[in-house]
Amino acid sequence: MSAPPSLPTAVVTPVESSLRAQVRASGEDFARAWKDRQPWLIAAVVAVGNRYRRTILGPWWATLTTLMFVFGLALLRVGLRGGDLREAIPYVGLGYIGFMLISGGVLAGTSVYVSAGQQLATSRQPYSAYVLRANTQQVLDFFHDAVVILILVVLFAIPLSLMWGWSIVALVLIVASSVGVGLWLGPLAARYRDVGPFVSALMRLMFFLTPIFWSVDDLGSGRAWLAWFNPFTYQVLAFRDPILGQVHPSAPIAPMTMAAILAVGNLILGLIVFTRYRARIPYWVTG
Amino acid sequence: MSSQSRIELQGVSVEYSLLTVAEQNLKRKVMTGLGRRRRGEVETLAALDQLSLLLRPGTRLGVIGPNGAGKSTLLRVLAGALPPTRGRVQIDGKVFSLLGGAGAGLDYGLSGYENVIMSGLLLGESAAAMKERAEEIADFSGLGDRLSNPISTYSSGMLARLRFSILTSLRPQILIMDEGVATADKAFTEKATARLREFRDSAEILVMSAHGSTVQEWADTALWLDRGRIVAIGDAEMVTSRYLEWAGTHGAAVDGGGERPVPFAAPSVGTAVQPARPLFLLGSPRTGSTLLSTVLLQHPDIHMHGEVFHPEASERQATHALRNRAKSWFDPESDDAVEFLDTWVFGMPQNNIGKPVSVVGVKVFGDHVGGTGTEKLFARLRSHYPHGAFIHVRRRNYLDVLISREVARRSRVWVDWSHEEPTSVSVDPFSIPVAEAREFFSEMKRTDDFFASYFAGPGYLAVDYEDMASDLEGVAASVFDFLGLGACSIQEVTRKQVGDQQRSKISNLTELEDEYRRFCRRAGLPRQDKTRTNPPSVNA
Repeated sequence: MSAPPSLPTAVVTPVESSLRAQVRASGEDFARAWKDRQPWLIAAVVAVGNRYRRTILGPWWATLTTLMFVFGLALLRVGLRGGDLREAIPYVGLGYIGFMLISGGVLAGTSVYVSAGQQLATSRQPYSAYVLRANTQQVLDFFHDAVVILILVVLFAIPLSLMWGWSIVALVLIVASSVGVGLWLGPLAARYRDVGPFVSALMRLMFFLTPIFWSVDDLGSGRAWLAWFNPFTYQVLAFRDPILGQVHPSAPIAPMTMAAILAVGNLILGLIVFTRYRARIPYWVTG
Repeated sequence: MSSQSRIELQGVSVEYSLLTVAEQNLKRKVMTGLGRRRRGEVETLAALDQLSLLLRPGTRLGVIGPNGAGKSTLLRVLAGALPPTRGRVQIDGKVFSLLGGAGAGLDYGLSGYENVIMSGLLLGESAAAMKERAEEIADFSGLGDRLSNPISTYSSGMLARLRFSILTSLRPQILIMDEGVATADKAFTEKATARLREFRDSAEILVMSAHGSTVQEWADTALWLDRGRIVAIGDAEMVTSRYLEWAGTHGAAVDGGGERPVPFAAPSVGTAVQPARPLFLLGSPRTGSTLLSTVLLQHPDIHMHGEVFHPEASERQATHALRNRAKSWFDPESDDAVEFLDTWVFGMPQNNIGKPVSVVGVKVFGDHVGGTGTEKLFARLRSHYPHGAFIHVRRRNYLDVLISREVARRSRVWVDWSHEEPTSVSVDPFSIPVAEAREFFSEMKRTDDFFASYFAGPGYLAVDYEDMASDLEGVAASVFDFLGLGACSIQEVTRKQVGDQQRSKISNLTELEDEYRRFCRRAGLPRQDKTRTNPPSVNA
């Protein structure tokens, strides 16, 4: 006689429980999300494909949109401050793609739980999986944009260098920061429904306050703070500078250092908020 | 890990904050000042109110009640999809749930076929296994070739059929469904009902919410829920007809006001039961625990065990336990003690007296409060029984306790057992060394302080011997009220006498369990054997 198969045992941690229980529940949430990663990874792929259902170009619409936008913005940059379009296109292109990854992460953060609605209310999926899925989607979107980078590199014969490794480091830091943002902004936006529209309005403004189609030097020393006050500036520069071989000695903190600080800071804040308010999320989403 | 499906809720409350638009609005927060709103001011709605429920294999439970009774919330909690505000939820086994609206959990951008695969992945099945099942699902749901169309083109009935077919094709051990999911059209409802019967036969857990009249078709037990509380659980036919009768005369008004149906005991027929609330009498010997036990025993909704972990049979079965000089024989650091309580004391469909009660109590004395092991046991009790009632019996006058103890020890007459006049007790005058008395007093104080601070909060009540001595009726009334039970008159106080001749020493947990097994056989109780062999592990 063989013993009957063992069944998983789950003890659900209630909303009102000790800090220790909350920490344990949050750790188990992440562990479960990682162990059962297939569903949310596939869901992310499906969601990216879904957006372009019944189109001829499919997800390549994202690539084309980026190309069109970059070209237009580069013309604007040349028109505003002069210079060579051959320099402007890679500059604007990399800045725009970097910013889209950053702002995509922040905007996705506001909607991870709000838009999960019914699924959150009726399934046992770990709550961290919603954040991981949203960020996977952002990374997939970025890969479609990365084709634009490839095109730019080939067209404008940007020299390959080992420095590019730093751009990859910057990308990892940006994604890590986005995960952290999702963990604290997700519950916050579910609790206070004004946060979503506010962040979305803010990000539109930040697009213009971030040196994407303009340069920090254009501001002059008097208004340079406008750029350095903005955390997204550092993240964009940390990604773009190594590829273009630029440096920003006027930055109060090295862009790469700041990108690392943002990643660590957002992850810590995210873990604190997520751990503390994890069990309340379904109440806020459906309540 | 466990070998059998099981869901247990203990004192589960779900409170929704009534977040109005104004409340969720940041503007108002900013205007009134952040954090100025105190917790007590937030209006909450108790969807479930301290609900306890035990579901074991073979459960076919229909949850009935008017709209807003908390049926959907209960199902979400049982499925593990909603963490309760308070209380303990333990789910052994993999839960498959069909909750929410017709298309909940489905992806509208995908075809039916793709949804079959995605749903399977979300439930931990492989894509290959789902592909194999697709044909059967197309067949059972009656969707056929429509399965390759996007589900955005489906009617809500088709969506319901698809979800039901996907889930039940997986042969779930635990299936939790919202009302209406299986009732698409008449033909499909018949097929669905037939499939639900298979689940009954494969002896797993099936829970469905329903409006009433159809419950008996697939459920043997009905749970009548009213504003988050259980009105009755038991025989489906009886509970359903009582509910329909009540709904017929009282209408479906549920929004806060209105008369509450009076809870009643229905005969238990299935494997879904409302477990009794655990009660712990905390204290030290000779502080009035026997007196209180006998008072509690007179209430028809309470059953009291003795000091269940005591090696002497009379101390376990009866109502009194004396301080045992020997160390506790069970290991307070292991989970065994709690597991034993769950299996043989609290987690029974019916307790030792063979009728359902609302409260089952045991005595746990603080003889070794100073020891870390005992403290660990108390910590286990408190975390494992969040809904437990902890009544601390104490005697303010420690000198009385000391004298009482010495008299009993010297006279060898512990307590009077008979209903006759108390046996006369004669003791020669004795003296107690001051140092010994002082040590005794400080130990008593340490124990009392420990209980008072450790268990303070809801669910804790201190009862003084002196108050019982002067006003037993009054104390009894307040204790019954504390336990949420109706009043009960106190007729007489039974006492017991324990001589030196009692002999049924138990030396380990296995012997204790054997004895409980024998006891149940003798009493003709339908005792299922222990279901859990290992202490429950804790995850997610």
